[in-house]
Amino acid sequence: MRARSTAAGAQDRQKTFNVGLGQMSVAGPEARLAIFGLGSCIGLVLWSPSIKTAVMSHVVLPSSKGARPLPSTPAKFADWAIPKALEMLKERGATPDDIVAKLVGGAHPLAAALGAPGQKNAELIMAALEEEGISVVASDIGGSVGRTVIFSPDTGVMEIKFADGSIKQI
Amino acid sequence: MTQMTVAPEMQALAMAGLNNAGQGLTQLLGTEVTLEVDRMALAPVLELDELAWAPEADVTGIYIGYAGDLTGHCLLCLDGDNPDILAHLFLGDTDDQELVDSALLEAGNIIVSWLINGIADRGGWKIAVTPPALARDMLGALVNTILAVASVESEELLAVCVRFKAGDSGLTGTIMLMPDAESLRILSRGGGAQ
Amino acid sequence: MARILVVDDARFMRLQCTKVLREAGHEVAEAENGAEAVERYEEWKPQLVLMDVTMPVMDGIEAVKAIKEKDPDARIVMVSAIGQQAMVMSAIEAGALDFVLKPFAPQLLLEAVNKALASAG
Repeated sequence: MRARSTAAGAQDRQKTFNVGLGQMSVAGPEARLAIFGLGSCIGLVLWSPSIKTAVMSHVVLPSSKGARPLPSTPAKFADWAIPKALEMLKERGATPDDIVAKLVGGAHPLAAALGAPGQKNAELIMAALEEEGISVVASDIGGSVGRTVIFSPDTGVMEIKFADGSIKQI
Repeated sequence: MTQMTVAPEMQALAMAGLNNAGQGLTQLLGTEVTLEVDRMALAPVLELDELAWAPEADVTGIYIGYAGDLTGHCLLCLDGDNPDILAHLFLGDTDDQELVDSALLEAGNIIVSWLINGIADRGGWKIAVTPPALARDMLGALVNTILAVASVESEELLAVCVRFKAGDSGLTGTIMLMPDAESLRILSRGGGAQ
Repeated sequence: MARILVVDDARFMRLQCTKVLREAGHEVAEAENGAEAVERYEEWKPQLVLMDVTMPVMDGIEAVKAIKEKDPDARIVMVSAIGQQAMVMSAIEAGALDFVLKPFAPQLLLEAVNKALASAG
């Protein structure tokens, strides 16, 4: 799995893992998970508060239509990412009823040319999570500008920075 | 990403596109414009997010799709003061933001069209372009959104990044040209109208 | 002086063309896409149409065909950045008289306008 880690600044010594397109990454309380420049894709976090561990997936589309997962892009489809993320959390001691989800993304910066599938994709992913019995505790979907998303498994806070510089936490 | 060994046929096509785009830009801006290929990479679509050299950088992006004998995506990126420089070259001082956007869109249309024209005429092809779309956003968000769309149809993409500089005006920009997998096969054969 | 319909989805381009044409003494109307151009042509009966190629709703080549079907004598000059040989051929085959490549010098546009107005359509 391809995930780039970058060291944070002097005041914040946590490692931040940048999750690329179609990738997924796991982190415990000592690190953060991020997507820089999230556009139409969905940043999906499955988090276990009890073990303060999370998996962030940079999901491109909701359904693989039954195709087998590829090791090179394990999170391209939500139906690849969700089971894999659950497996990774369980390996680390999470129990299924302890896991919650947060979703971000689905923007449509070039809607006039490329359409706006983000909202629909997010709804399909939320339905799939519901089928797995996972609660979506927070989401920030749609809009016409990109986001940078940073999740802290230690606190469960998702920080979202928008292209206009505004910041929100969910 | 795989740095490509570029076959002579494809080099000739790329040069035809660049030379033509240079002529078009020079005419458009009234000053000499130089273009050079910054990078050329063939990779799985989803690995090309590395094209966004600074994912959080604020850019004005003008997207144009193309279809016909070749199909793919093109993004013109202007960062920093460059959108203002380009708008000022066309319009002088103005408060009319809608007109500024229209001028930027048309600039993108002309620049990309001349690039495509050079490749099309060299290869003996007919390639139409879509009406341009403009977004002011994070570079990563724009690149990733295009790659997400491209990934539906293609496993692999060729990405060609061209930097241009317009003489005394100080204007610089980047054009990312991304033909799809089928087009890449056609490009590799070099086309017929040489 | 002639009635000239300028068709382009870019307001900036319509402004540029309109300025050149009005300064040369022509009367100008505008349309934002090919479908509007066909409607406006029927309402206003211009002596010449300057038509972009790449537009939403209906592109310029389709608009040329639609206008020529209604009026085989319609005079239409393409004004576009898509100047590929194959594209120019398509426009001429559809019925356009000429093709002006963007970006154009005002003098070049006026020469094409005068030549088209002088022709039989």
